[in-house]
Amino acid sequence: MKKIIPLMLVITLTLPLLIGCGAPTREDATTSQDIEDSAKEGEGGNGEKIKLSLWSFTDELSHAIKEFQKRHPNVEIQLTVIPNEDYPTKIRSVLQSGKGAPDIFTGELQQVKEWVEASYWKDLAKEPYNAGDYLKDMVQYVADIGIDSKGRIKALSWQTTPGAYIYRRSVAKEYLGTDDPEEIGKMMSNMDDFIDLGRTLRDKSNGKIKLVSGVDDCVWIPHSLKENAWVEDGKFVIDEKIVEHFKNMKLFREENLDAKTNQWGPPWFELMNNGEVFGFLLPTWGLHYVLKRNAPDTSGDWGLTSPPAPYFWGGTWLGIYSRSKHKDVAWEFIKMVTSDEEYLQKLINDTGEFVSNKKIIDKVKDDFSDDFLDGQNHYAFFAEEIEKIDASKVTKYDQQINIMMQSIIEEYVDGKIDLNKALNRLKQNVKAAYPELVVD
Amino acid sequence: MKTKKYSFYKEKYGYYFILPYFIVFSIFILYPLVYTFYLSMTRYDGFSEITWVGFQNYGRLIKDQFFWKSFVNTWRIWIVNIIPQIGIALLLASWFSDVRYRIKGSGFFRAVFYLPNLVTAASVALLFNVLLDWQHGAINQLMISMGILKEPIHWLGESTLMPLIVSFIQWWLWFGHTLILIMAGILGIDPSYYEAAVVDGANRWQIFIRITLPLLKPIMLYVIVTSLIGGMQIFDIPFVLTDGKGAPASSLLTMVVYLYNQGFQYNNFGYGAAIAYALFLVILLCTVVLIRFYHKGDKEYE
Repeated sequence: MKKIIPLMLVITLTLPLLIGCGAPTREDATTSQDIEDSAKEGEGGNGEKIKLSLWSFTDELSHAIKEFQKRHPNVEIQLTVIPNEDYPTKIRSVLQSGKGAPDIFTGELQQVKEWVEASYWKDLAKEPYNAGDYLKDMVQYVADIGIDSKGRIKALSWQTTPGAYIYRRSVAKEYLGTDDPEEIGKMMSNMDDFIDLGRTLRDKSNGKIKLVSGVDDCVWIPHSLKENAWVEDGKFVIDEKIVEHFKNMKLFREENLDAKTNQWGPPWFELMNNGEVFGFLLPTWGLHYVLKRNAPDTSGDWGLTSPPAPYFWGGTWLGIYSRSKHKDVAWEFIKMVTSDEEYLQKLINDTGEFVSNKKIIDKVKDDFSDDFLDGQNHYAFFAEEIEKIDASKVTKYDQQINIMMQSIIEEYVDGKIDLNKALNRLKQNVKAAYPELVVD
Repeated sequence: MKTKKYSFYKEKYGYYFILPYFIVFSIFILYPLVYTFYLSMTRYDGFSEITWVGFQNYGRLIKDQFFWKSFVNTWRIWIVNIIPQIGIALLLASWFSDVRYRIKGSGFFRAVFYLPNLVTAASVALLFNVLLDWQHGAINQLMISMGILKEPIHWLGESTLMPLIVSFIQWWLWFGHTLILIMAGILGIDPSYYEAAVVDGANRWQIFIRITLPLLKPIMLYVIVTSLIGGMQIFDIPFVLTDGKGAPASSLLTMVVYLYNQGFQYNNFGYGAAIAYALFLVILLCTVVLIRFYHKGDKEYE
């Protein structure tokens, strides 16, 4: 007996520790509706429920999950949302270990470029998926990104993310005499015109109105103009257009054309409300999730027109984990999300999302209007804009190199370093980060 | 002495009691330590196969100008922070604990000075980011309205200022903590030393230099060593304050920021592990040197 008491003590002392170690990982944001599920389970009674897990970095898909569960009461999809910064690390570790990996997982544009080449996403080109049939209706660049270098289809997306220049109608009327999107678009058909427009606004408003919020607002402009990707055949290349972008941004700062803020900071959101900036370079989702949310009082005072160079920004792709046990159900889900007409129509009505299915785009684009944009039909506008997008120059290095470039541009436009030094610094940074690349 | 049989059991249960520590230690410290060392000998991007490369990563580390820059930055931020931190803490502690001053509400001040330490470093960094904003930051607007500045200063873009600002934030966060430790040390000193000194006619300065400081040695060692370990690992403030890569001009690139970027942003896990080991060695060496240095002094006293 005497021996047992200390032993029990040891066990009780150790237990909380062990429990602490095995604490469950965060699995928040479950969208399954318990009441609905249990009700259906009762009436269906067709055995076990199929449980699918889905990992993503946004909750965009919760809309689709609700719909899918309504259609398939015997399926329960559990959505785990992991914040953007931690997402790649977290997903990488579960895929590596193979334990607790989700059946479906999403990837953001630049991650997708890397992940399609790995073997974690199932090839959907073959039987029984034949994803190729569905790709035919998909906007070309969206389809291309999910295909790996050997032509295997790894990931699909329901959305397209072309960019626009979204401007204040009242400012346009006051200083430019018109707020017609066509007319404004003509005033910024290329970068030189864009700069001239900035000068006009500055002069007419005595320096009050700025063309853009900051030099990082223009970050996507050079990428659609450039002829070389950041990395070509294992070699780091600084394209002429990138150099030109450096010079243009310097000119923006010197001529007082930008409001000197950075994206995503409180001052940036403030500018959306106070009307000191003519417009913002934002894509489809920027209109719905950034402008509408942060400047609700300015509704109706915005117009949307083509930017000085066509661009696109972001996007979510989804694919099936190659060792998932429920690939058939997962495929049903992806099929619904990316190509089911009824569902996509509902998505558009509910959220104003710009989809990737060309048939649907053609169907809705003619009679669409948005009160936030003073009734402008931005669907028709974006439908035209997607034709100009070229995603062939996206590499897996882009995200990091763009961040490096941005901070170097900030130094350069501040006059801390000259152009040569700026470009050299970019090269040094890239070389330190990616030793496998040839940098000269 | 008890019987032999009983003492045998006592030993055995002793092992059970220390077992949890060893289990936790080996899972959370020993295993990562060994695994990190293994990783530092490999090339691994988190996706493809792990390839063994031997000491290649360490070779790269020695030639990597960014690593050395991060090394210098980390030290600069720490030294600029620790010297005023200990200085101010010593000064305040000697005031607060000096019976002749009888400062009213010293408990209140101690609490106030300690308060910043309760705020998460990341939110402090975010707060300073907003305060220092170029166009709309409170600091610039205040200075312009008071007529000190004509044009707003782009604080976050000044590579010479930013490390100083980080040091300042670190100082502000930690001097209250140091103050409390040092005060505890001072209060632990036998008052009879001070009484004897006063009787002998020593002035305040002499008492401080000859009695307080030498007797504070163990506490000072503790403060410096823990601050060194924390200071070498500084990450959250430089990371949140700018773009996460140590901008402007890599002036906030500390060793751990570099480690994080190499490992989790550029997917060079092997190289990141090598940086971690370099950091480990730096901290180990400095700590050993510091402790040696202090103990040498002890012997002279004896």
